[in-house]
Amino acid sequence: MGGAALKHTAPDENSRADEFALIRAAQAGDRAAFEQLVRAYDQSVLRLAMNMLRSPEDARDIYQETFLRVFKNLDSFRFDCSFHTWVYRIATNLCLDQLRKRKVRREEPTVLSAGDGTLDRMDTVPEERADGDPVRSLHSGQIRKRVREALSQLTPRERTVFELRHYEGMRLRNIGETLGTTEEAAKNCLFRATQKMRQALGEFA
Amino acid sequence: MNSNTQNRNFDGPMSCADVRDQLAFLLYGELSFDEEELVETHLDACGECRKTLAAQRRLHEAIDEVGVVASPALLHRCREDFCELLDAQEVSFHTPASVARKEESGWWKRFVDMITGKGAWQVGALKPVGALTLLAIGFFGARFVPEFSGTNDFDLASLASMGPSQIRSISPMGDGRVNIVFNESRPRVVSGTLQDEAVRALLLTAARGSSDPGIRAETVAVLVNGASAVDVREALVFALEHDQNSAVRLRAMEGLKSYADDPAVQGALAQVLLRDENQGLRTQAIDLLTEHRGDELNHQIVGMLQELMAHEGDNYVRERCQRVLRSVNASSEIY
Repeated sequence: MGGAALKHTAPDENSRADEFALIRAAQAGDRAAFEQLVRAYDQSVLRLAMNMLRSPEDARDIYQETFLRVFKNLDSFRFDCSFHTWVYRIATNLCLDQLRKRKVRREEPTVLSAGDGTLDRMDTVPEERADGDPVRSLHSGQIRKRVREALSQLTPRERTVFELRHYEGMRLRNIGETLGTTEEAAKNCLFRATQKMRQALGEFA
Repeated sequence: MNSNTQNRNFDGPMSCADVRDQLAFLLYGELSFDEEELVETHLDACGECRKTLAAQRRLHEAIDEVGVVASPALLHRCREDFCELLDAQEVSFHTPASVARKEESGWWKRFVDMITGKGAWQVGALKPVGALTLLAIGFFGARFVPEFSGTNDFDLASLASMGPSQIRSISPMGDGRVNIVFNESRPRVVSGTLQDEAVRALLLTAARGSSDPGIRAETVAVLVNGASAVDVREALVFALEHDQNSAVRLRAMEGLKSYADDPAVQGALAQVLLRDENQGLRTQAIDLLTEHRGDELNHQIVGMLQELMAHEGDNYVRERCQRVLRSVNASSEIY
């Protein structure tokens, strides 16, 4: 239970028109409009960063850096792609860089690392009720641990595509656009990622 | 492994190996209509591939379990930090707030103009008065403002455990010293009842966002006393649906007992019934959904119980479920 992925939903025509007006206003120097744009996407960006990096501190840094870059480069946004894609491109590239740095340093947090984050520390807390099935609970905890380990074994690119598809619910076409690649390349990447996850977790399924 | 296997064009029937390569895409809804048709046709005839699909579906569910949702507290902090960051960018946003700030700083500008003889204050005689005022401010200020230098004023242990994201800026001062600006968080105490706005807001935030299951459990235990209020009930429903700790979910369910007729509560109970991994909670969900309803169980609840029977692995839950279905003369299976 819990942890169900929140899927990204595309904005409808009306909200797209509103967004266009907001972007124009923000480009003209309207801070309130800019803050409204940030609020429209910041939850998704934070969730993406949390899922990809599994660290509240790193997710906070990604949040700040993403929207700072959005702010600094807002004038250069020419509506060639959707604003969502543009923001996500910045955020995913930052996460990707962070994952690559971690791979070089060979560190990968697989458990909760801070007090104000979101990952549940259930794995470290025994079931408090006598009617909780300890065997089932242990098995479930083991699966979660193995899933996190399996995710950390993916290459940064595979991990990014997998996170965007599985947890963010983005279509492969949008993932390709976000990462500046083709849908086919994104599909290949997702294929490799799912194969690796299956190999790593096969016995639990 | 052939990395292009998943991109092959299939003209005729597919082999088991081909189908298994497509199962992940089937689950993600990334197959074209024709591809899906071919895979489905194969699955209809192949029990082994159906088993593989079921295993892959379980794998997806297990992966879902480790998905995270950023807590409201973390989001709030991010937003606050970002607002500060924006302020620090010295941008040319033309907001009422920035205009007000400029107006507020006007007195200082006028004062500086006065003592330097600039602007409207071009009265030479006022210059010595201004200089004396500055001297007095410096003299008395030095006696009243404490000096923060070195680390003597801080607990070294707490500084050492500080995360890098708490440090806002570092600026060398040119004489070998350095100015470090960092965020400091101090515990504060708020006391009161659930009716107090601040207490209530904190509890509602903690119920949804605390990373500590112990705190969430305590919070929910307090909130159950105010379940008659919609916002409190929403927090309990959220805990019942999303909390990863079964003790917290159980407390939330107990708090919602008297509100089993509320559609939101019924929805949460249905989720527990069909998806919760804790059989104790599933059993209680059966009771709450069916209690005091006699023969008037609606089709939806009967359908849910029948669905539960189709995949329930726990004998006790099955038996309980079967008993309820029998009591309303409903079949234990879905036809």
